[in-house]
Amino acid sequence: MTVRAHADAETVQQIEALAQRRLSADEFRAWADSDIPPDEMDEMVSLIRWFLKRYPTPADRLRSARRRHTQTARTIARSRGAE
Amino acid sequence: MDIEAFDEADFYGALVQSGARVLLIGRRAVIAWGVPVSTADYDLWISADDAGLVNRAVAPLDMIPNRTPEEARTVGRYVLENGERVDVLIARSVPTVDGVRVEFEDVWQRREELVVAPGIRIGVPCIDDLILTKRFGARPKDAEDIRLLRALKEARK
Repeated sequence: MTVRAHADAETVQQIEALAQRRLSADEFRAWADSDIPPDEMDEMVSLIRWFLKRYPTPADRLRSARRRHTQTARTIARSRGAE
Repeated sequence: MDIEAFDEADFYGALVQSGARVLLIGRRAVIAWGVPVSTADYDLWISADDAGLVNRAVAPLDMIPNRTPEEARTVGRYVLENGERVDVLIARSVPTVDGVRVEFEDVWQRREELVVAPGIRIGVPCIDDLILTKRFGARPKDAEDIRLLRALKEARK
């Protein structure tokens, strides 16, 4: 099943602005440096270990990221063409 | 240039061939170290004197700088584009959100060289320095990347 979400330009801009905003030093420290709950840490560690096993070398990992990006760009281009 | 036509290995190869002191930073470096995040762009931190070398090396890939090396040195950064976007930092030092100045020379000395394509090794900040560079922009995604890099250190124990 393909789910397509459409957001108006203003919403996209607002989301972009939120993602790109610069946090204050306190906000940033609270987010980046706070203790990571053990269950969240376990989840991240197991995801990373899977990634390292699936793509054992830096070159493998970069190639996989590139492939994902190309696929996403292709999908976006196709969906724009369909509009 | 069409996204499909861009050859990442050629790009990395050109950077290495340039003779410039180039560090791959940003999310590509995070990925190279072993964290599965996504990104569309490339981020480099290069020696402040080497913009000309880099620009000449990537010119055959149709990558166009948006500033001259002199202008770029004044503002500390510029962009190379050809459909792909490469953000290039050329400041000698950059402050983190906490006010710590991070020197290119120090990060360069502590770099690791990772094989990013067959036969091509590129400089990447060590994990602790990559965490420091993530404190430059201080965006939500940088904070999230730091948490993931902390988990990477745990995973490598």
